[in-house]
Amino acid sequence: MSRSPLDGRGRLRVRGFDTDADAEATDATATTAPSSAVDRRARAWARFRRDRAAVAGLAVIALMALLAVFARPIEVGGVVVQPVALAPYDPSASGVAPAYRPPSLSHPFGTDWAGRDVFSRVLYGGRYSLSIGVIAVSLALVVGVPLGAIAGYAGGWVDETIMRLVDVLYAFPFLVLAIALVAVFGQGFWKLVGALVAVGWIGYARLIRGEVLSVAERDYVLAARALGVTDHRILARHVVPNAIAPVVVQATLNVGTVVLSAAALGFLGLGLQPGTAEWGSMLSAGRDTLIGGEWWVTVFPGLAIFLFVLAINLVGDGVRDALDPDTDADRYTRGGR
Amino acid sequence: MALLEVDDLDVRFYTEEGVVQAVDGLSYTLDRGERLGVVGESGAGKTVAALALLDLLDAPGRIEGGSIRFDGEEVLDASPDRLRRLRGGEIGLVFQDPETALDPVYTVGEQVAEAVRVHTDLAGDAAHDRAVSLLDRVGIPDPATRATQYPHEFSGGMAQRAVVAVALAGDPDLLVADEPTTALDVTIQAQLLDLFDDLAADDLAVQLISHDLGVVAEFCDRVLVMYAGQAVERTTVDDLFYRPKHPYTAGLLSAVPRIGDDRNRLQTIPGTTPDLASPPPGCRFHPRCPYAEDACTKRDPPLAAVDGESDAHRAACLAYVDDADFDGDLDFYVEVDGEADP
Repeated sequence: MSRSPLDGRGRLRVRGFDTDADAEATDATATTAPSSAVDRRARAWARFRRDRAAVAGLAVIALMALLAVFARPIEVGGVVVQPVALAPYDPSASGVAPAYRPPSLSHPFGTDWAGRDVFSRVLYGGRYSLSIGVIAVSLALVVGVPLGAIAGYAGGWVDETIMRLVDVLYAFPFLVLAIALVAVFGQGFWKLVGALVAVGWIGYARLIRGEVLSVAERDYVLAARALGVTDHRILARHVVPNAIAPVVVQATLNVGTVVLSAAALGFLGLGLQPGTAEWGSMLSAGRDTLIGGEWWVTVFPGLAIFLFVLAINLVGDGVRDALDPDTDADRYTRGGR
Repeated sequence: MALLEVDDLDVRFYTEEGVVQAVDGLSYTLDRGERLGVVGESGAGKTVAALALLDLLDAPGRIEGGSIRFDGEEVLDASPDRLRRLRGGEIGLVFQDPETALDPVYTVGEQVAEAVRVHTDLAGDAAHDRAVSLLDRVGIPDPATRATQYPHEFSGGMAQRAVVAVALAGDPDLLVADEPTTALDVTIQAQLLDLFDDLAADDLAVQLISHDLGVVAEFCDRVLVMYAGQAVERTTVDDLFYRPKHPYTAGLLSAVPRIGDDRNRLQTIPGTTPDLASPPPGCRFHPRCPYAEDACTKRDPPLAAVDGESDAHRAACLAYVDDADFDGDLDFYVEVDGEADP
């Protein structure tokens, strides 16, 4: 049996340590306030700004959005609200120059088979591609997040019903489903968005359901229940805000995917009306010309898609890093800026 | 009439390993302004019993029987609406780990204000002002500034005070504190106990769940000792520490280490808590009890009065059951050196 070093040495007693002298200092320790309150979003934004690639991506997106908005004048109800026209020609006007002109000063991106100015069309096409990306992802979030959150929080038959629907939709190859939807409902901007939303929400629903399952187990959810907060308030105010970060990252990255999907559908002739200045449709219309040597008809809209998707991915990565609690560690090394 | 009357409460968890009887026939009462300590080792059912008070158990846990009367009203029959008002409004709950009991995405002030809005007519700025005064009440310095800060900017002790402020927002009559000091170091523990002391002086009943006998000795009026889902001893703090009657209580007390002790090893109670999916027959403590006899394996002892007439001190041991086939003698005693027995 091991011997304790204290064996046979009597009780420990400290003398001369005057506790009274310390009396007024006892409560002072608790009052040292840590750094001033910083909003979570402000911290995330500060981290995002440090990521140069993400900021560059954001700049590219902003630039493309501005170019798209200012490409042609915008009229609302007959009133011109945006008079600037960066694009030199009407994107749908044919015969502004002879067909298949290579890039030149007057037509920087050349002209296509109908003599339309490719530069104007690429600028203007941003309106379709960007708005499809943003609108389709937003609508998919609006559908997917509540359904997934309810499924995860309610459990039971609600969960089963919603998640089996998700499984069924997942079982369809994306393009087959989109083709079927377009075939049934026809072409058009909102129908294209509808098809993209119909296949897009399932991913968010699955993602947030998984997060909700783990967040719902946290103590502060139990604490809220112990306070008599109603279930839908707990879900909306405590569970979803704590579960949303991965969904935000996924949604940001998905804007690029959705633009690609819209382009793919456009390429297959299932997107917007033929002849629309949407990037995918332009690629599709110009695919025969690549062999003929008229590369500019396809390369410039292709480049636009590439650039936009790349920028979105950079931003998405930046958002992920900014929202990831693990990267909080650099708070200490960088002096908490 | 007592503020809280728990009668023969049964809670079971339906798991894949079988039915776990987490709380088995638990009965106790709590008066207005009284401080009850609930002690026992991990897995004794202390927390489950506390959550059951507000019907907060989730599947697979279910309250299978018994009754919980708060102020004479049956909690288990309450409508969802009434239950929501009961939660926080009449019974406040304080959790063990303050860091996880606060939602990281809201400021502390907002979380207290939310509780205020749920239980009072106050809204907007009025709710926020009330939240600040509650933070002040629980001893958070500079409450107006601290209210705008997030939980991660709070130390453990301050966060626990904020959790107490949340629990107090509905002006409850009973505060159930589930190991409120376990995650804190001893100096902060002492400050927090002072706070509870202060609150209890305002006629707030406190049910303090702890496995720290020192905390219980300092704070509580009465104690309930739980073992394997059952109450094994119920008495005043004085009697518990100076005149323990149940072998398990004696074991717990002997296991408390003391500075300057001349023992080589820490005293333990041999064995571990039984698997509640298949508890031992008879008295649940008998496999670990040095006084166990044949009779103990056959009969589950009721919570019997230890000295016949008085209801104040009860222990669940066959030694106190008159018609039991128990011949031995519980020959443990408490030795007090230095001071006279109070």
